[in-house]
Amino acid sequence: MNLKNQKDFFSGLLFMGIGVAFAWGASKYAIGTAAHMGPGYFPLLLGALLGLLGSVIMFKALVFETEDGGRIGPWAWRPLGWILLASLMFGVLIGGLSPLGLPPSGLLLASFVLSLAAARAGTGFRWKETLMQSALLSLGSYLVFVLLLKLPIQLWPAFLSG
Amino acid sequence: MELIHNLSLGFGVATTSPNLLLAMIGCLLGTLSAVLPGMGPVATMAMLLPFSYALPPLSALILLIGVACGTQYGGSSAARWGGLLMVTLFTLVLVALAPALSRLALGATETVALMVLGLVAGAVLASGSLLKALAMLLLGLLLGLVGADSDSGAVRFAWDVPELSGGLGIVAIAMGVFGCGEVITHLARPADLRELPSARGPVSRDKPLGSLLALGIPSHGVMALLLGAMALRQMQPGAQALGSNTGLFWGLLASLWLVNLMLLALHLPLARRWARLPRLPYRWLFPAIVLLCALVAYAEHHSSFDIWLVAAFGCIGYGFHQLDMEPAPLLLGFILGPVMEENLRRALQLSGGDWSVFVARPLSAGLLATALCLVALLPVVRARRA
Repeated sequence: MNLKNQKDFFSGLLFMGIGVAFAWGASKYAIGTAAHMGPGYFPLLLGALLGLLGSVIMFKALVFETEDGGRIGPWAWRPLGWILLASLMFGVLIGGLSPLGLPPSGLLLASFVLSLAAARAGTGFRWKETLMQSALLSLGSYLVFVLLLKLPIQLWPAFLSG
Repeated sequence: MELIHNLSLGFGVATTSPNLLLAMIGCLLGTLSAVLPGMGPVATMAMLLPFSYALPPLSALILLIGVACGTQYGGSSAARWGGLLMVTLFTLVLVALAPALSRLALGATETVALMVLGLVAGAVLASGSLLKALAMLLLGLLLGLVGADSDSGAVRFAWDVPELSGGLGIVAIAMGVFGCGEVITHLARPADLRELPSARGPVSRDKPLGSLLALGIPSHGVMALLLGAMALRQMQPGAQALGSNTGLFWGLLASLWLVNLMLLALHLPLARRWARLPRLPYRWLFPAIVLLCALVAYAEHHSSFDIWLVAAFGCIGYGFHQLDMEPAPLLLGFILGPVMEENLRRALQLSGGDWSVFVARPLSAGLLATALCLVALLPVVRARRA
């Protein structure tokens, strides 16, 4: 199969899939009639429309020629992975993970770890600079969020604060 | 003399010292986000959104308007004068039209038609393919429906996740797609291109802001977020605001004018200094942006789930970028989704399930026809912009 526009083809496929999924999910709720719309009516309508639009976009991407073939650029897995990991670790550290019995580790440690992990996403990673930057950001988040905005967030890990 | 009374009321509200200070802070933050690389206006505003809960509604909006206006034009003084002139002109037009506008009766049918027009305008103004922008709108509308249905109370598309039964948060989506997603996109660029502030379309945002206040039509990600802020504070932007909440309406208009004046004062003498700021290397900036996104999302409900959402929407936002899918219409649809469903439900209930009511009533027919015209005129608009 010859794709005339790779980006449009895959976004159309994505739209179609999501539209069908929403419409299918909506069909499990009460649909009702136009005069008495149930919780499923509007999402079913929107999902069907999105599926239709998605298939039109896909069709166009198969039929109409584009200049550069709409090729998808290379995926930047490294920034994607590190930013994702940084956010996930921050969430685990600041809120704890109750299924594993992990207690919250406090704002300072969580901010420090996030900044450290996020910095790995960039090119030209330098240990000394990053450590300093992470310490600064950790201090800054304490100053802004706890001291200035007075948000009730735990600062230190549970085993330190008792 | 109602006119002078209204204007003095507006300026009276806008020039109290806390409101002036907030407008100033907003302008500074907006300008900063415009000159620093990798920090878009939508992410800046989304970050301020949770904090604005602590302020009274008008002050919160003044702060956000300051940011919204501060981020545009990129500091050129000619454009600034133009902006001030536009707001002045627009105020005069609105002042002249206000009595007529506040007498317009907007029923549920007209509200649906108005929203369709607003959504279509949002899609037309987005860059890239119109079909994809419309699909993003629909996707946003669908995402807005996640959670409890306002009518029946049925929880939809929550996959038995208790945190989802209240719906997805606008802060999490905006922070994910426009904050984290933008950081990933920016880091994926070659290093030498990275230090430039991300280029944004030269869409003037003063006129849409005016129309947002008068009719409830935003046409950009920034506008969508302002609308979201209003909705969160239980304010209905639209013709009714003219009648029922005059202080708020004229106060906003007055502060829009003041904000433009402040920006002029801020940018004219300091233009060169502002331009020097972007030399701050991006590798110092982006960990702070990611941290801010995560912390602000967490601070809203003290729940780690919101951080997972930001992370997930960050990845989704990068995917959107890779596939050339413009995210601003998604945000617009997300905010209007529940309101649109409610009004559609009411309109069809009143008409006994008859869809032809939307073309039978002159005002809603006119609005829908305008939306169709917008789609038809799109090639002309695109050609002129290019």
